[in-house]
Amino acid sequence: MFDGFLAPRYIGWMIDGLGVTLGLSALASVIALVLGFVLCVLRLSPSRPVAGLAAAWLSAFRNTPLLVQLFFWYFGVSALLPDSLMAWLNAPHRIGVEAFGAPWPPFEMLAGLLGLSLYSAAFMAEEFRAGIYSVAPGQTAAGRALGMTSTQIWISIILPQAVRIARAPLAGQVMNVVKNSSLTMAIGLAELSYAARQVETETFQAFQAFGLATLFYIGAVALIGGFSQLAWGRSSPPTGAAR
Amino acid sequence: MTAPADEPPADVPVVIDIQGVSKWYGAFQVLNDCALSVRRGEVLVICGPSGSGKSTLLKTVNGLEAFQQGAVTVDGVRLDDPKVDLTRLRSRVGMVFQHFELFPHLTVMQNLTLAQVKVLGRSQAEAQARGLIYLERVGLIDHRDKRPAQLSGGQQQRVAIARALCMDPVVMLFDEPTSSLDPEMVAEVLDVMAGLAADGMTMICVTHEMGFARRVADRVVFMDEGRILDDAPAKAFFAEGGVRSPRADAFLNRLLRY
Ligand SMILES: Nc1ncnc2c1ncn2[C@@H]1O[C@H](COP(=O)(O)OP(=O)(O)OP(=O)(O)O)[C@@H](O)[C@H]1O
Ligand SMILES: [Mg+2]
Repeated sequence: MFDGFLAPRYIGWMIDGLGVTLGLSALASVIALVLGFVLCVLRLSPSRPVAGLAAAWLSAFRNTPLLVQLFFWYFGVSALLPDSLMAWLNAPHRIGVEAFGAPWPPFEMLAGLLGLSLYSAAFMAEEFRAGIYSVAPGQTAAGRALGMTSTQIWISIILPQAVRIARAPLAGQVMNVVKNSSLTMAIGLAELSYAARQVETETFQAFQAFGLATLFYIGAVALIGGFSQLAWGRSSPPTGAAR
Repeated sequence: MTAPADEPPADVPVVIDIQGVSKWYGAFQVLNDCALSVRRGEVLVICGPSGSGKSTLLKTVNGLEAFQQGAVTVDGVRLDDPKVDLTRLRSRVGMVFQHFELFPHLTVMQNLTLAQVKVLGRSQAEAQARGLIYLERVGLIDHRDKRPAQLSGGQQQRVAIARALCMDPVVMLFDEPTSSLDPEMVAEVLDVMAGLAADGMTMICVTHEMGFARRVADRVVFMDEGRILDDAPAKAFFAEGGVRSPRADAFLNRLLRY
């Protein structure tokens, strides 16, 4: 039975949650993109031990549930770290960012960001790798025949094509980051899903709370899709007939 | 070899010299004691059945394929000389591939300037000026700002030829440059190649276009199972009852049946 809209106060909670979700997802995506690229390069290293280690790392992070990884970083690591460091991490101090007035993030935020970033990086690394593999091998031969060095071939021929091929799947991975960020509610991070659950507990308006959360998620994901379309509409090579 | 090539004047320098080259993939021998020398301005056509080692032999010339035995000398430089800068040497050997291998993310002009700038250290302006000369030459000057995907196969292959020419090569290698083209586009590419030959470019062409070989080539080389079985002046090779190994004879008959 529909029992009215959420009170403005609760919508405010949800919007705060959305802010945390967006901030967390944006940071995690940036970290995961950079780290994913580095992991991909290591994975393709000519050195067998390096490539092997990277492969093991990637499969460990891809093949275990994100929820378990979040618990690992939140509970497992806090059990391992010395008490003094934990106390310091949990203390409400400000460093460096003081000028901007940003508060030191709570430990669940650090653990959530770390877990989400590492997990997503493993998937992004594989998207980069797939992109590199789908550049035709003849392209390398063409570069070599022109006298280009391996480094020049990588930078001017392979990577630009690989990134073009990988960017749609990578955008998909960024959408996954937004969706997966909801799991951080399990370690107490006050993001959108957490907020929805709180509102529901407070108001018993489960349909409204989770309905609004759903709309927010759809909006965020659609925004990413829209941005990527906009960005590539300009830079993608024109196809088909002459301009 | 069934017949010695009639020697061009001895004062014309040898550009490519291949001596006793053998190559194995594991136990499988791809090249078997191949020897070939090409003088400046000569046009050589290499033909032979699929898998006979034509592409492999061609790629030994610019060091794209390593080999276990023998020696290759390009313009007086031995490829196995440890002091040789292979990338430098490759930049002076033009190569045209069956599937064009243009860089799809770059415009036609960028395809022509990339290696000129990165490898030869030319300025953008110099590289573009040279690019324009060769685009004009292959008849594609109006297409300089397009991407390869916007061109027909024949046009793409002509761009690929221009890209190689921009590097001022001492020799041009063609590996079946027309065999992935629709029939109506073959002629436009062969015309460009014939024009180059007429201008005195040294060329080694792996091709099954026997009309081109007959009309443009100075010499024809026939390969089978990694060996050079024939190396003869084109005239003699194609003549009725000409100097041909039995296998070359059978190959030609098969090729010319339809
Ligand atoms: N990397 C490789 N490993 C093993 N065998 C190879 C490799 N590359 C080529 N070969 C073999 O070497 C032989 C010669 O190949 P090559 O490409 O030189 O032949 P080709 O005369 O150019 O044939 P085609 O007309 O089909 O292009 C073929 O039998 C091929 O299967
Ligand atoms: Mg071949």
